[in-house]
Amino acid sequence: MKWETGFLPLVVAGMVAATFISRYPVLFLAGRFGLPPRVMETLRYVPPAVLIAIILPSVLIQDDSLSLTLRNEYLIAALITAAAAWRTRRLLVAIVAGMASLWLWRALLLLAGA
Amino acid sequence: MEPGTNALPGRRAELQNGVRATLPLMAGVIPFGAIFGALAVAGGIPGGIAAAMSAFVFAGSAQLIAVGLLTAGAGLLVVVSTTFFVNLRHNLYAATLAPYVKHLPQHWLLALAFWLTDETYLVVIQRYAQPDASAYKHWFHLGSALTMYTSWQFSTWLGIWAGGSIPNPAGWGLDFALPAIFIGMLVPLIRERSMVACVVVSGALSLALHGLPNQLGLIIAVCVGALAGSLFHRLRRGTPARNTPEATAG
Repeated sequence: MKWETGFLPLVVAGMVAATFISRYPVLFLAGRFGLPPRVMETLRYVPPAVLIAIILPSVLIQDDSLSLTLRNEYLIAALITAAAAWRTRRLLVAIVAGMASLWLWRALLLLAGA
Repeated sequence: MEPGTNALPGRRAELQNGVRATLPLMAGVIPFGAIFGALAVAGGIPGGIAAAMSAFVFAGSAQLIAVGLLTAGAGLLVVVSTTFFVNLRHNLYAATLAPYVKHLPQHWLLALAFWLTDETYLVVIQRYAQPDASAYKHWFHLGSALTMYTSWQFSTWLGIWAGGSIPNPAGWGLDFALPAIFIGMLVPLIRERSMVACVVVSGALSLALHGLPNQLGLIIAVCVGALAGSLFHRLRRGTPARNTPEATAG
């Protein structure tokens, strides 16, 4: 083992503390003292903002650069997932359609020798 | 949730609905947990430490980054402060959830805070936002949290057990499972033009800032995107009347 005895448990304990202070205090204080209506109105936009900010980089950034071509199978699969979600409004259908289109597009790219 | 039933769901039904609403996300969470376990072991971190991280820290991105830092020889302060920055986004989630859980006793708040993750937040905020008067929406929250926690432990052990023998998971396209789930969750949320504004701004910033360390790009994108959505909403609605009770009282 490349670490001194006791170092890794200490790291875990530190991580527990660092994670806890990012989760609990705001939950407790914001509930206790309330938030101004304007802040509440803004917080309504956090879920879509988080979702898109996770989706776009993982789909469009390939090998550390923006990839907007048909050879980016993640982009194609993401578009099909979005279309399936839009049409059916069903999460599972969207996921299955997305994964299937990813595999299919990959196979097509392989066949095309791209 | 079934149409035609007027009775509000009880604790048990809420709990079960929370589990059910979270199950589709397992397609993304389980590979992620297994990758964490496998990378930790491959980097020389003992399985017990990796399992303890999952059990007590319970923060996927932070754990994965910690493994990277530890195997690169980083010290305690670097790992702990990075964990803090990576988890900053939880403050936004906590602020959004706070009004819905403020009536709960301390032990509930502690538990729900400990189990706060991106996935549970995104699932339960939709339940809390539904207009029905159920007094047990926090049981839905608990159901989602327990599903996430259980699968995170299970998948970490799976990864530790399999060690480095899992062939490249990206080759299987499993790295697309989580983005696919999030796309499926995002599409129904976009119902107003202000949501489009929010998504365009946040998305553009997330791409422009993806090179920033510690997920700081994500936090900035989310904050500015949410502000943009809310600003757009206010501008379209016109400036709100100034003779509201709070204005006159102030």
